[in-house]
Amino acid sequence: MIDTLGVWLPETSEIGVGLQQAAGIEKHPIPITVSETIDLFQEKGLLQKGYSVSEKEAEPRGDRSPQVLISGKNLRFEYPGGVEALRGITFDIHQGEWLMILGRNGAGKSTLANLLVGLKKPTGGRLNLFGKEASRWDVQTLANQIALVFQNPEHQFLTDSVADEIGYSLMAQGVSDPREIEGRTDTWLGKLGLLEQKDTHPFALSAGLKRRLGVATMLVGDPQILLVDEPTYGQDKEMTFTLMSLMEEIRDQGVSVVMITHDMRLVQEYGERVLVMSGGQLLFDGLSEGLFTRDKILHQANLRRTILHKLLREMEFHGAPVETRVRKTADLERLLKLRLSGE
Amino acid sequence: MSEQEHGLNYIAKDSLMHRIYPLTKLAWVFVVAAGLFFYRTPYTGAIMFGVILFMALVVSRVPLATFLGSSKLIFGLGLILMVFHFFADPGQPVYRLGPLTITDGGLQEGPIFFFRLSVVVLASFVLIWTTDTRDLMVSLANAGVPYRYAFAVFLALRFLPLIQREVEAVRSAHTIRGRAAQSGLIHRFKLWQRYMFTVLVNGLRKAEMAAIALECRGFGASRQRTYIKPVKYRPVSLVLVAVFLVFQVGLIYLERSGILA
Repeated sequence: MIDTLGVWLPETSEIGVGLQQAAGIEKHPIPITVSETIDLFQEKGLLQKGYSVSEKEAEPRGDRSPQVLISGKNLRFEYPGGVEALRGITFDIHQGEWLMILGRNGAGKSTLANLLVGLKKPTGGRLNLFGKEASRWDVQTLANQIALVFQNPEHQFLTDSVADEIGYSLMAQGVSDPREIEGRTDTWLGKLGLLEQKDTHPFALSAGLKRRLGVATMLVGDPQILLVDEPTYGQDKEMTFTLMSLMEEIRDQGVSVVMITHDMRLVQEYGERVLVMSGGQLLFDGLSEGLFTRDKILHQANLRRTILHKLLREMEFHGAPVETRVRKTADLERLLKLRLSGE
Repeated sequence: MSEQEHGLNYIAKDSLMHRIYPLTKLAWVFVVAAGLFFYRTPYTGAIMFGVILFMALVVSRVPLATFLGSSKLIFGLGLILMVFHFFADPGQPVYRLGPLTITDGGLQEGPIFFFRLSVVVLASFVLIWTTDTRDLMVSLANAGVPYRYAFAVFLALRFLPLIQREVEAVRSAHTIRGRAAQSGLIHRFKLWQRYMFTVLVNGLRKAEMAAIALECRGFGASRQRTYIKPVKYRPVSLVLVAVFLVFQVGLIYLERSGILA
């Protein structure tokens, strides 16, 4: 029932609910804290040995196309007031990649996003965007290659109906035939499940649908990279799942998805390659599971370990280490259920 | 545009201007602004502008980059007003631009209005750059303004950078979405309409949330309000107002006596 309400549960409780459905522990109270969960595991004999996954079961990770779309070398940006927002960061973004840029407020994430879409130009270092220096792009042409969905989608809306929003993007692309605009608008609205709201004012949509429309207006130009700022900010669990599924669909079509976030749970559940920023510097560039084992970086970036990773640490401490390839709550829950059923 | 760029925020420094009592600084802005209405030549306004600029960069230790970052706001309105006067004021025609005529009267009056507005805006900016909005609120309450009203001033100043950030976010988003209309003017007007709509809607939401938060924290329940950081009035601060009052009168006297004509 909680699932249908879209409520975020701690990972420990999610696992507890999952195990409740497995044989034998229906009457056990649902654990909330890590120690309650460890007690439950001990009671059910789930901590007698470690957990591993076979190569076949493990989700393929970190595979990326060799084609580099964006490349930053020693990239710097300083605001006119003298504040250094980026202090020499080096990174690449590949085709079809799923990348999360992580960091607390003021880490430089949004400045980096503004550089990537051409709203700001670097004040030092080199930034190559789709084979051309950043300084040689103008914002509107670049928008056909990399589309930024703002944290507040309302900022992007320019018209008075959902259909007109898509139509506006098509007209900005140079499409002028009204019949073509209408047809392509319907196709896009159908793809993103917005046909029913075709004539609704964009500001009257729910938060989730506004986000969808924001994504739709930017996808019309068939960009190579979709850059989304805080996609799940203020969203419930169900809406987050829907949005992330949409992002996965977009990635499956070959579009690189770059997400700016400070939600560690999102990184845990959906992360692949992660860039961690702090004070305008790049502290980490690697797979998400690697980040959760780097205490120093988490501390430096002022990021917190997720409950799942605290639980995994405790399990290791109690003699049941879990392989690092197990990274999502659902992965661990599945392994525990298998152990419970004796498989 | 970030806060760093538009620079319309308090800059925490230890300058002479920062140490002056907030209400005295407010009075200083009024003295500067009031005197401007007596100026009849652009030279007087230019001298006052130079003095306020000195107050900003040297006395208040405001970084030059911050001043330059805000220059669009400081000079923009003044320039618009000056150009308007070029065409609108009566006088002998000097230059014709289609149906519009620039007059000699306009050329004389335009720069006066330019400096009037630029000086007021710059002096207000010096107040914002050197005054913590919370200190201003406390000093207003100390002066007997009911704290409900003092807090309203505080909230208005607190919201200003947020609104500015919002306008900039909307502008960036619209830039990225490109232009669908053929006519530049029509497109600009529609964008302006949308800025207003988005900023107004989000402003109302923020105001509603702030009101709910204030209610939840029992704002106004107690007659007496206490503050964590006291702001003490020091009479020496009045020297600033006195010096500018004398300077202002002297400047107007020199102008009227023909020396600055």
